[in-house]
Amino acid sequence: MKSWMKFAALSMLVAGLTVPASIGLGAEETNAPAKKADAAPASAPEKKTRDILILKSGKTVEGKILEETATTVKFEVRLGGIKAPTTYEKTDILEVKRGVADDSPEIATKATSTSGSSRAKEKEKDRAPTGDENAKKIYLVELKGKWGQDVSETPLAKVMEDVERVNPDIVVVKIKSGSQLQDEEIAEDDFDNLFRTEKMAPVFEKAMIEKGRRVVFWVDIAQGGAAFLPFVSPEIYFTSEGWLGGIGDLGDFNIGDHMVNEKQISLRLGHAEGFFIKGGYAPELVRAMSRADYWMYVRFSGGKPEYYMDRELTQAEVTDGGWTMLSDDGKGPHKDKTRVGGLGDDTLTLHSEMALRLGVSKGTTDSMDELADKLGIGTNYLVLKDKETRGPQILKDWRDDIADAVSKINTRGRPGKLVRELHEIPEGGSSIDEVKKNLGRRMSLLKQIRGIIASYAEVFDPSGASRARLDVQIEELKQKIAQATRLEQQQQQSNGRK
Amino acid sequence: MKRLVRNMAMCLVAALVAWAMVPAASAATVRLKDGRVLEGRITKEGEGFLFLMISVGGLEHQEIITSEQIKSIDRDDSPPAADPKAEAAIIPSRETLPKDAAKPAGEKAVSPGATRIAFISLEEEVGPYMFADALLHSKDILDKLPEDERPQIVVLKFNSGGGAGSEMHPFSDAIHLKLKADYRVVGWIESAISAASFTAWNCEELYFRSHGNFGGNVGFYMTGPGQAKAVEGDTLEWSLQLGEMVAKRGGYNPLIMRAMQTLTPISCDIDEDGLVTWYEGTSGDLVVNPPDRILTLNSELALKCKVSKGTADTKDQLAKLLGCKEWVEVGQEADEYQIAFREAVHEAEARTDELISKMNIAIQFGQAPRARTFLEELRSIARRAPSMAKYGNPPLSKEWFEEVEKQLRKIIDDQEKMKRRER
Repeated sequence: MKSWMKFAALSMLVAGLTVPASIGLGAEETNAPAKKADAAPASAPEKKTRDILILKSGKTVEGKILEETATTVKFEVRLGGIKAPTTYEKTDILEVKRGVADDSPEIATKATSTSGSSRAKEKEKDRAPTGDENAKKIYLVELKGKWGQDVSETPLAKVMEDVERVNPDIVVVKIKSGSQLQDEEIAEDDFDNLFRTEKMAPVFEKAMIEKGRRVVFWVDIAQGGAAFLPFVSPEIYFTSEGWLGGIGDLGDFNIGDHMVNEKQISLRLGHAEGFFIKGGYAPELVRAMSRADYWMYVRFSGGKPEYYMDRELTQAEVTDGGWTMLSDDGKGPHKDKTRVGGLGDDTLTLHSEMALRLGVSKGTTDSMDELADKLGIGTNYLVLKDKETRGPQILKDWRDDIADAVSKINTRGRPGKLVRELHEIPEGGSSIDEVKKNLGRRMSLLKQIRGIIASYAEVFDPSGASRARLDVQIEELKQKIAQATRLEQQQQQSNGRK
Repeated sequence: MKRLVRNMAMCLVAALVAWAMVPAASAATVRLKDGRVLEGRITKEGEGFLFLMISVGGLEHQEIITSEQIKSIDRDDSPPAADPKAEAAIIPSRETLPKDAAKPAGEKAVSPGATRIAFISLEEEVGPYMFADALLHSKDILDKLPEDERPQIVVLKFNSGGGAGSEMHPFSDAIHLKLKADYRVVGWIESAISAASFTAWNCEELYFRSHGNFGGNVGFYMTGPGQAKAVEGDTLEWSLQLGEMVAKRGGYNPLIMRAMQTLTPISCDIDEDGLVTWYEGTSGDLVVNPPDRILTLNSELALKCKVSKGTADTKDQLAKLLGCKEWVEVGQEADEYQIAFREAVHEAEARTDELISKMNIAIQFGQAPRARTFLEELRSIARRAPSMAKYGNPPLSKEWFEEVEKQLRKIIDDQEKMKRRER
C-alpha cells in the first residue's frame, strides 16, 4: 500500500529499553593552571583563572588553551563538568582573552550568580517560615533526566494539576536535559523527540491560555526534544552557561530517496516551526537549528534581529552589512570538529549570550534572586517548598518508577530481573503438578511485566503492540494450564478406575 | 441529548480566557530600553510586568514585557469606543471570577441571532481514522438536527500526519460534494500533512492554529526496512491530477499544491489590494518554496501568501475571524461520533492480531467455544470501526468474517469427528 504519512516517532520496545542514569554536572573547575601569587600574602587564596575565546559567531567559550599554531587554537572547553578538547580556526576567533581571573568582569555574571544562588537559598530558608503573605509565590518545576522517559506527559500533567491546587503567581520551569548528562550514548538529538514534546506542551499551553498562568522557562541545558518546549512560552531565561539546541541535523535524514527525504524534513520543520511561532519567536531559528546546509546570519536593526539564510556571504558582505554568522553549511572545512556541549556551528545552538541578543532569552541568570528580579517581582518572593508542592515528588517518583521498571524488564540491553526470572523457569517439569506450577509462575511474571508496561505505556509501549504480544503469550499459557488440568483429571479418573 | 453550549464572545464570563485574545483595556506605546518602540494594546498588567498585544501584518501576538525592559509607556487613556466589543475589554481579575467562568455556560437555548457552528475533529491516519464514510456519518447526525439547531458553519479541525492514498479521493468528495453542498465548510489546521493535506485543500476557507502545518505531500512506498521510494509513473500522475483537482475545488492556485508534491520552487507577488500572483520559480517577491525543497506551510507563511485567512488558537478566536459576533456551538454529537470511531479503530488496530492469535491458540487446544468468543469480540470491534473492513490488516470485512466462520466451523467439525473416533 502506498503511504502518504509521516514516520511515527520511534517507539520504545521492551527489548530496546536502556537505563537512564543521569550524572549531575560537576561544579565549575578552574581551567588555567593556578598561578603562584608571589606578591600576595601567604594566606591569600590563589586566584582562579581561565582563558576565554570570543568567536565571530557571537559565542563565548571558556576553558584552557592547550596548544596554539599559526592558524588554530586547541582549546579545552569546559561546560559544567564536561571537558572537551576542540580545535578552532583562528579565522573563526574574534578575540582571545588569556588567564582571566574568575572575579573579573568577563565572568562576573557567573561569579555573582554563584554567590547569588547561595544567597537565594539562604533567603528562601529565611522566607519560607516567616510566610510573608504578600510575597509572590513561585512554583519551581525542575525537568531533568532523559526526555520522553524521565520527563513525560503524565507526570507533567500531574504537576500542572498541582500548580492549579497551589495557585502560585509564577511557574518557573527549569530544564536540564540532554544526552551529555547521561552516562551512555542516547540519541537525544533524534529530531523525532519533537513529537514527544508535542505531547507534553499542551499542559503548559493550557495553563497559560486557559488559566492565564504565567509560565516561565529557565534553560540550563535543553537538548533534543527538550529544546522545543521552552518556546511555548513568551518568557525564556537562560543560565549563564545555558544552551539550547542539539536537536539533530535533518540534513542527515536518509531514507533512500531524495524527494521522500525532503518531504520528511519539510513536515518535521513544519511541526518545529509551529513551536516557535506559537511563542512569538522567529521560525527561521529552528531551520538553522535543525539543518546544517543553511548558512544563517543575523544583524540588528533598532535592536531587532534580521536574518539572512539564502547563501554564504562573502567576508566583505559580512563586514559591510554588519552580519554575524550564526551557522555555516557544515561542508568541507566548515564541518564541526565537535558538538559536545552544544558547540559547533553546523547547526545553530543558542547559548545564553546569543539567545539574549536574538530576543529568545529575556535574561541570563544563575540564581532565583536574579530571576525574580528580572521577572519584575523584586526580592519579595517565595519559592514554594517541597512540603507545599507535590511537583518535585511527582517528578522524582516517576523517575524512580521508570528506573525501577527498566531494571525489572531490561537493563542496558540485558534482561532485567523479571525477564531473567522468566527465563530461569524450566519449560516442562517432572510431574503435571510441577508443569502447572511452572506455567503458573511464567504467567504471573508475564502479567507483572504487562502491568509495568501498562502503567508507563506512554514511555514503553505507546502503540500497545507490546501489551498485545504479552496478552497472546498469557493466553497461550492459560490454555496450556487448562490442558494440563484436563490431563491431570484424566489421570485421576484413570487411577480411580484402577 | 442535545447539548447546546452557549459561548458568546461578548459574554462577560467568557472573558476570563479572553485576556489574550479580546480587545485590550488600553492602547499604548511602550518604549523599551533597547530602543524598540512597541505599539499595541495592554491586555494585562501585573506587578513588574505587562502583556502587550501587538499586531504584525494582521497577525496578533502577545509579548510579555517586564518593568526592567521598559523605558516609558504612553497610554491612550481615552475611553474605549462605543463598540460593544469594548465591553469585553473590561476583564475582571482572576480572583473575582468564578473558577469555571471560562468554561461553556452549559445547556442553554440557542440565541436566535447567534451563528451556529459545529466542530468536527479529523485526526490521525487518513484511511483507518480519517474515513470518508465516518465523516458522512457525522454529516448525517448534523442533517438530522432540528433546523434551529443545525449548524450554519461546519469547522473541520485537521490534525493528521497523512495516511492512505486510496482514501484521499473519497474523503475529498465527501467534503466537496456532500458537506459543502449543505454547509459553509471551514478548515482549521493544526496539522494537515500529506494525504490529510489533500483533504483540507477542498475547503475554500482555511484557518490555521498558530503552530499549524500544512503540506509535505510526496507519496511514497516502502522498499525495505527504513527505505522508501517516491511514487512515479501513473501513480505520480494520478496524485498530481488529484492535487490539482482538490486545489481548484478550494479555489487555490494548483502551483502551491504542486510544490508540496514535487521539488517545485514557487514564489508570489502580493499587490496593495492583497491580490496574489503566483510564479513557478523564485522570481516573485516572496519565495514560498525555494528550489530543491518540498513545501510545508507554517501559519505565518500561509497567512502571508493568503492560503490561510487567519490564525486562531481557540474557538472564540476562530469564530471572531469568521465574522461571528455571537456564536453557539451545536452538533457536538457529530464530533462525539468521530471520537468514538477513532477509539474503536485504535482498539481494532491494537487488538486484531491479539484476538486472531488467541483464536488460533484456542483452536490449537481444541477450545472451539473460546475461539468463537474471540471471533465475536473482533466482530464487535469491527462493527464500531467500519474503516477496518478496508484498512484493517487483515481487512475485517463481512467476507473475511464469513470465511473465518466457515473455517472455524470446519475445524470444530473435524475436532468433534476426531473426538468421536477416539472414543
